[in-house]
Amino acid sequence: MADEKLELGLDLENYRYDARHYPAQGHARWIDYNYIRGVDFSSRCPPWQYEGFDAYGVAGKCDIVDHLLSGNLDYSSPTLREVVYKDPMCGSCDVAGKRDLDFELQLMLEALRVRMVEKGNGPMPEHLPVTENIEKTGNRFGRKQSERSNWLPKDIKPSTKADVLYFVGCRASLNDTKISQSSARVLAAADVPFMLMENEPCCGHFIYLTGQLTKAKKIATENLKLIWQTEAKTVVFNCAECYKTIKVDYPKILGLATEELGFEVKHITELADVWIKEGKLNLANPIDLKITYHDPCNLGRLSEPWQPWKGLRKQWGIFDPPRTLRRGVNGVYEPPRNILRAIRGVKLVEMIRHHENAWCDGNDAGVNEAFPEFAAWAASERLREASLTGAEAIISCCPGCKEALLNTSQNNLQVYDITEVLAKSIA
Amino acid sequence: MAIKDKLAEIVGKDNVLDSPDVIEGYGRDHSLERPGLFTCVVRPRTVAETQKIIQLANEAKFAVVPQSSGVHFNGSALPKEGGVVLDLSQMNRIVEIVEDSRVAYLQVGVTWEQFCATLEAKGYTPIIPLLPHASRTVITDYLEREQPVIQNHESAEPLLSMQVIWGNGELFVTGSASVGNFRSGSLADGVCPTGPGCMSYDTFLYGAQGTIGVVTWGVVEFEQKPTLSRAFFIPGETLGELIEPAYSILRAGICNECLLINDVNLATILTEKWPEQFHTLRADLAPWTLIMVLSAPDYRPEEKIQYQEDALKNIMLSSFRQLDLMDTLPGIPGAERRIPNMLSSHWPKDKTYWKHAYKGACQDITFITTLDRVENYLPIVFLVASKYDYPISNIGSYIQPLQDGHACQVQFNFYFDSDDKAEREVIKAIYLDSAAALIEEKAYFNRPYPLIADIVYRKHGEYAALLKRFKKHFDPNGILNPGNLCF
Amino acid sequence: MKGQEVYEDIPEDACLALESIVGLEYVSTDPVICAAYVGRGFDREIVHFSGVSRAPAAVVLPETTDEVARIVKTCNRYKIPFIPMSTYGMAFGGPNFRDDFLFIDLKRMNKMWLDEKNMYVVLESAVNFAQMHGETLKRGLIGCLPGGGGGVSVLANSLVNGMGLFNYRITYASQRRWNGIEWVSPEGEIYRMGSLVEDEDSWYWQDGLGPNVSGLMHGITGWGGAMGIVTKMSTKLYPIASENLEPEGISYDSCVKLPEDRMKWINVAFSSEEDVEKTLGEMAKAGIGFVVNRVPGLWRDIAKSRGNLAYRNMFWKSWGKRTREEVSGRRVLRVLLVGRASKAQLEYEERVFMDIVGKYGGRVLEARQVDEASFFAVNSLDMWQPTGMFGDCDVGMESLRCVRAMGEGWRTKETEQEYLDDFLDPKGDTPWYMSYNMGRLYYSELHAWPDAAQMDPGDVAYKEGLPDRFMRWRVSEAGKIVTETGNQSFFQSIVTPTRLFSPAFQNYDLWLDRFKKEFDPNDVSAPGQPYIYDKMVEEIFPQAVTDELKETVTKVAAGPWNGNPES
Repeated sequence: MADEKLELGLDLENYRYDARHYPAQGHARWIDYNYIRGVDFSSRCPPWQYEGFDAYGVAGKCDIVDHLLSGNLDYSSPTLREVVYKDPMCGSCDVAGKRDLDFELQLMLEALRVRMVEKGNGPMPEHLPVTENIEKTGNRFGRKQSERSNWLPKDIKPSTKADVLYFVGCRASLNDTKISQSSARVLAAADVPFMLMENEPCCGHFIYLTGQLTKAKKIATENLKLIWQTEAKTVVFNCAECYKTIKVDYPKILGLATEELGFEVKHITELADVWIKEGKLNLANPIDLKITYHDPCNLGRLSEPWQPWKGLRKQWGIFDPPRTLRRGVNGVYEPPRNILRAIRGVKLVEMIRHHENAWCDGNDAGVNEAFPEFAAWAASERLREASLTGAEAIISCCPGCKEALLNTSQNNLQVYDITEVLAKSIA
Repeated sequence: MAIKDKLAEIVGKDNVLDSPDVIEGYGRDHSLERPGLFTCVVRPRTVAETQKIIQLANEAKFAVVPQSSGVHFNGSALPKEGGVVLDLSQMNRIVEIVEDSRVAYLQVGVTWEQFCATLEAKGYTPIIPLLPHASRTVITDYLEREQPVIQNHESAEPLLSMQVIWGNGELFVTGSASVGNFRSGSLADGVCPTGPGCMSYDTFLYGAQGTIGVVTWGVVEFEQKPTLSRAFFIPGETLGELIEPAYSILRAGICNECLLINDVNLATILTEKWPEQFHTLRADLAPWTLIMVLSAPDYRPEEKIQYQEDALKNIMLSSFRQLDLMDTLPGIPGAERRIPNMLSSHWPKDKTYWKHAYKGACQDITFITTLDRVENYLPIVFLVASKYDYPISNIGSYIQPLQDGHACQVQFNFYFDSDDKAEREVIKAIYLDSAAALIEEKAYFNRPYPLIADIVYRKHGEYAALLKRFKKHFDPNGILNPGNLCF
Repeated sequence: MKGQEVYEDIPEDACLALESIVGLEYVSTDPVICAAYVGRGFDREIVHFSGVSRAPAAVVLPETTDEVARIVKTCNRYKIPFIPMSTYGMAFGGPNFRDDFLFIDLKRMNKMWLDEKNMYVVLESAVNFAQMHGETLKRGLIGCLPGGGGGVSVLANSLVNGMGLFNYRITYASQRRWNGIEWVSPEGEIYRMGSLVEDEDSWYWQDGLGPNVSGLMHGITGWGGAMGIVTKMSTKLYPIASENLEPEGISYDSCVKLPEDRMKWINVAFSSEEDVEKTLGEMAKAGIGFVVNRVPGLWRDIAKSRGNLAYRNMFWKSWGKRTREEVSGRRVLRVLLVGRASKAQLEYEERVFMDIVGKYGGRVLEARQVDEASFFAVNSLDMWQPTGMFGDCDVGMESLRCVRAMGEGWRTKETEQEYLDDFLDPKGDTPWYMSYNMGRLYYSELHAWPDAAQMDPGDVAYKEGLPDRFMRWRVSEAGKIVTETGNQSFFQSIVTPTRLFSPAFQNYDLWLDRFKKEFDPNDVSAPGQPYIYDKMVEEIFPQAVTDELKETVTKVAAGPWNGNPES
């Protein structure tokens, strides 16, 4: 009888206890019960609801991890690979496992992907082109890096040196430039000087979440060097994926705490919320729109700062030293809502699943590339939920979410990024 | 050795009866069923004797027809295939009153008269159907699914554990009284009806009409006698206009007793001087009346009555202004005091039973439905009655809401002169035709009494087949009350 | 078929038949898919870690009763054992001891519809309580929610007679909770029971046409799938105050707000258990209350362990400091009052309650006017919080004095060093109990909570012999007290062997066997149920059964049964 040595990280062995002892009992499948309003829109897990078999939900995955660690299942199974990768890694089950208990389900799933790659059965073949793009061209689309700054409007002049570095991200740089342009306008309207990175690289979110840890470490190390070189005090993001990757995953991969990064990591909504309250942003233009807000997983429940931990699980499961858990309670939920409420004419209505219970639109962690039908279904479910609120538009804070919802929009709902709406409302 | 002799060895000669008077008496009841023919009546005094009788019946293959009270209305306790009548009325002790748990242990022969008197003396009240005959037995009425007038959910199903002798002669106890050393070491009160173990045996016995087992003892709930009661009445020209008020009032949970009753039945119940008063009352009473009794125990009783009354008035004022909420019945002085007392007890033994007071006899037709469907059934029954020239105005109707208005028991009462053979035949035809017509309109007959059992089970052959597979385990030789239900 | 095809235990023909019934995408024999159905939920530490739970040979996901019936018929044809499952909250109900089960996952059967006027809801197997209440509360109606939480299947819980927090009024185990049911027999025939025999819209009443055969499905027999599959049920709803309960808060602090003019939580501390019991008795006589719950002291510390620090650390930080004197001097009764008719009713009940509390020296404590344990029971996993294993040992269901004696007996055992060496020390507190059926029936649980890691042979923290000792505590120590006091155990078959105790309770297992043989002649409907624990104890934990327990059972079985004395 001994105390178990544990380290929070990406070695699957650290999650044996979680896999074996998670009692499941519905919390992993359903949103916080207090918010359930019937059968429809009660599920929290897109792959579980889509596929039906429990293997696709975290309770089933706990069983599977238990079997893998015990040597009773083969890592090389194609079905295993599908089960592991048909998952947007949205963190919803993690919130469930932490509501009343201390389970690290998200970390278990991340470590599982790392293990799959180590064992040669990951990532999915469909992930390789994007991986190659990122490695070779510095962006996920395989476009020329030189195009990356083409989005910048002529009337916006970034500083060569400023406290704030605006990290644009691949999507807003190369695809949906309305977002980057709107973000830049918001920064300019708040009179905040900001820098841009020369040859801004991809943050590596895709590579990390598909379990390619070695590559992800390399990207994280290199990118941090680049950021440090700018001497920025604050790095601001409009992309929730980039935001969470740099704030949480880089420290995780490199054994640091978020506070040890050497700079503040902020989403533009966190700053804009403060600027509005301080009067720095004058929202003079009304926008007459009934809006519902879609919480991006990476901005909401997955965005709490990372704190490394190493220690023992002692009797009764007490951690020594005591550790804090990232329960998803302190994610960036209110700033976007505050912004929307501050815009004259906007009427904000909530969907059934909101805040930490938000339904993932399915467009993350390689799901869109490897399982496009499932991703489209998840997004369409979200739109169906949004349409029932009577909203005219659905707003999010992540180019990835916007892309997913736009690509699937089957109804009359307008889809915007919050920066677009905010920029439009600024005088 | 003849059966009678073997029975006498078990119960003693004095308890085996076969005189013509006895056969005549036990072979008839108040129903339209033809008289039963059988060998004798056997009257055990103990469970052990009862068990031996059942075991003997299995060996000798004679039918056993259990009865506990001396009064039967529906034919289910009449022998249909010979055999012996098992008269359990001597097993009539109130074994124990457990005040902490508000339950009583009753032998099967305990009548309402006994039970009500005992409870009254101790300041309690029974959970009782509408004015049962004083000689009816408590447990039998519960098993037959007589529904309590206290209609709230909390008071439904007051029968908990039971001691039973199955048709195969095995002794068993259902519910939590099943523990082997019950009342001789264990601290159990028998207050949980399910089990023992992994099934609910009590459900098998309800509505079984003595075909699955012979219940010899039961644990029965009772309640505190209210310190204060107030009756209210809502008269209605039609049944329909009282349904929505009933729903609203029951949903608010403000009354204990609640029933819907037509003028015929209410007048029958309230008449003291026959026949003049009956006709006067009928003239004074509205065609339908919703009766509610608000009650309060001895904990700030006035305050409780007050909030209930306020809630009741609020419901009426906000949604049913067109109806009168009355605290008395016109033409019946003191009805508001009489009725709560009446509804918490049996029919007085010294008076002709209310269902026989009008014409001497009565055939009920009883089924379950929901309040919003009740009105649909009136024209069906009236049509049948008209076909046989039975005056609609003579039909009694009683709607018993169940469990806060979740469903209701509907009863139509056809009054007739039992000495008039032709009239009996007419009533029988009305009964059968009504049942057939009602079943076609989805009325749910949870009490398939003998005359209509065939109609019920012909429509639901699958369930009948299931019942037969099921019954053969409890009664492999088919000796328990054969000819009842679908057996 | 989904994933890799494997025909070791289920013939290819049978798999083809299943595919043609439900569609290719809803059948699988893939080992990865099947591995996800092993030993889930409550009691995993015993059932799974002992090797009893196994992966099924195949999984199928039907959507309709008709599909279920055809699957069951296929199983009969090919002699394939099946296990039905709705929300899989208890490990003992999963595929155990055998590798050849067809796992019938009923999650696609999740339809529900309401008759608001007549206050019932019809639901399929997979609908859970939170989903049901999410709909019904909009209409001022509730069912009864179990301690297992909002994620539990309503239908499955109703089969084990629907224990739950509202049973003070809604009561336990009565026929009044079920209405019509749709049942697929072990042979694959579809039966409709209760008023549902009349037509598709007649779900409102539970009585049979004559006897009610649905009693066969009550209890663990039906729940465990040993008597076919109940695919649809109508359950009665109970009217409550008219407002909806609005949710608020994030994650661990989420709750629903109570309408303060119609509902009120009141927590009262008494200095003796006798005062609690007298209060309960008077409340019952007064007919007041809606939830009446005797809450153990450690639940307070569980509830207060909320924050970013690991809950386990937070809990032990506070519970570790509590003394026996402190715990025994503070016996908490937690009561929910509801003004169903009006605000005036709530006020009336509060006045009466305070009269009673004052009479017995109760001290009113602070109580937030929110709920997270009753209407949606989102915090049901709190029972795993202190040690990682919810060590439920047995449950008594009987009178208050019975439950009291059971609690006292167990409290004495909890002071023994052997108990304290292995399990969380409740510091002399009375086991949890609740009042049911307006104070006639009491539900009480006996707990022994070990460290989950110490129960796991695969963990470095494993404590040699602990699973065996735990089983002995559960089966024999708790079982002895429950049987001696005369408590009927709700948990027989769930956590204790059936045949072992049956002689003390009318040898009821003989009846189970008779009906099993009658209705499941091919023994394909969850074979082994409800005797999983019997087999576990016999093969894996023989030391769990002590001679003392056997003597107790024999003694109780010998009686005499004296409910109806002959003299």
